[in-house]
Amino acid sequence: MNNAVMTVSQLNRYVKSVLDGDYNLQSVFIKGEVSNFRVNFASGHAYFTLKDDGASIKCVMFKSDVSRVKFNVEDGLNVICRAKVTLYERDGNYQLYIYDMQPDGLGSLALLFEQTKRKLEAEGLFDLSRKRPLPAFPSKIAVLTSENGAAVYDILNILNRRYPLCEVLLIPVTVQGVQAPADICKKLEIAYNLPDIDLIILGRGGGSAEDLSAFNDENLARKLALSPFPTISAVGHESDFSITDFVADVRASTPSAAAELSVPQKEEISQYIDSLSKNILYSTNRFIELAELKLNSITSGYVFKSKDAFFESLIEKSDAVFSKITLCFERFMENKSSAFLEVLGKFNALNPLKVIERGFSITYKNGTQIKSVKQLEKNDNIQVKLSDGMANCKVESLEELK
Amino acid sequence: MSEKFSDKLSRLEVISNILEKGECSLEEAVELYQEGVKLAKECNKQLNDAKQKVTTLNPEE
Repeated sequence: MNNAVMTVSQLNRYVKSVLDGDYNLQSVFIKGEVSNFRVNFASGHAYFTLKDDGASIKCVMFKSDVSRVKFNVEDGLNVICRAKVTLYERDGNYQLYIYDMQPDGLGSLALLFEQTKRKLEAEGLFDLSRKRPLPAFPSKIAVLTSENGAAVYDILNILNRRYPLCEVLLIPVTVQGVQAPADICKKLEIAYNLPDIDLIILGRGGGSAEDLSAFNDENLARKLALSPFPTISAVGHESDFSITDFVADVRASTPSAAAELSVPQKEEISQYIDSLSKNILYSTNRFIELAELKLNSITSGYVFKSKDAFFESLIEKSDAVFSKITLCFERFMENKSSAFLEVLGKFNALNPLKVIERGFSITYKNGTQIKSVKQLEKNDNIQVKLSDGMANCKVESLEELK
Repeated sequence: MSEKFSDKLSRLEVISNILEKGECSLEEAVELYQEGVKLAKECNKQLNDAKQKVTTLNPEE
């Protein structure tokens, strides 16, 4: 280099080669805050600025590298990048080619977890109101887990021991690696279309955060939220949570815990049936006892207990009434008789035939009774009736009493 | 035993409640008692005889 006049192209090329030639600048680790992050829609390359309190630098990240970033790059994030320092000849821009990016502070997996969690929570996928109760006595459970490993044996053993009445459909899934979320989504879709499922258990045994990361996948979480049946998420860490844990109806800390939550214990049910049976027996006996008591209280009433006395008193009563009636009748008859005799006596007294016996006579003229001398004339033929016969007479003379 | 286990258990609970409250006639009580005994027997038998049925979904399905 000397004091000769250069063109812009020459200068830019020169400075670029200086930068490219510096070994230290080929792979630097740099940290800063992301700002103005945008992705070119056509090319897929990302352009942003990394800055700190005092300075900033332009950054470019190619599409292939962007896709390897395990979290969503957002403005305001603090990141650590592996980058190459360079100059873009065309416009003289001093910039960084970013090859790798990690969050500064949280691990990238953790950051993605936070981002996904925030997003889905805002959409209401974690709401308590969405949670459904588990069926008390499921008849068929779909278990989505790896067919290898301890989890599947644990689940099956516990289900069999506690509640063998329930059918189990095992749907093997890939539980870690890049393919896992898509595979699980596919198997969930199959399970959703089965007609007689009561419950879905999705789970796996323990592992590293990386191993379990499939269960933080956003698409998987959305798919799980669509389940028509209650779901249990059982991703094997005791204390931490996966996104599926938030979306499912119930979270279990391990696959074994999930099995225990999903079915009752048959011993408990047997006991319950026994206590119901005892209750039914006791209630029925009591029912019959009460009916007996009622019956007894009726039959032990005066009427039934001393029924002889009852009848006797009835008989006595009716006798008394009968006597009274008889008495009254006799008296009635007596009264009537004496009245009759009285009348009869009077009648007899008035009987003209009786009068005749006492000496009186009845005088007839031509069949007619004569009561007065005025009815007679001298020489009339009259008949005089006496008590024992008739005297045919002729009137000699008549005398009228004055 | 084509009825679901859970349905039978529910019916058993219902019978127990009715008899406990005594809201039925004597004839009904006796009938319910018999039904309850039958149900309890069936439920216990189902529980004790059951063997877990496990099927595995083939990847091709």
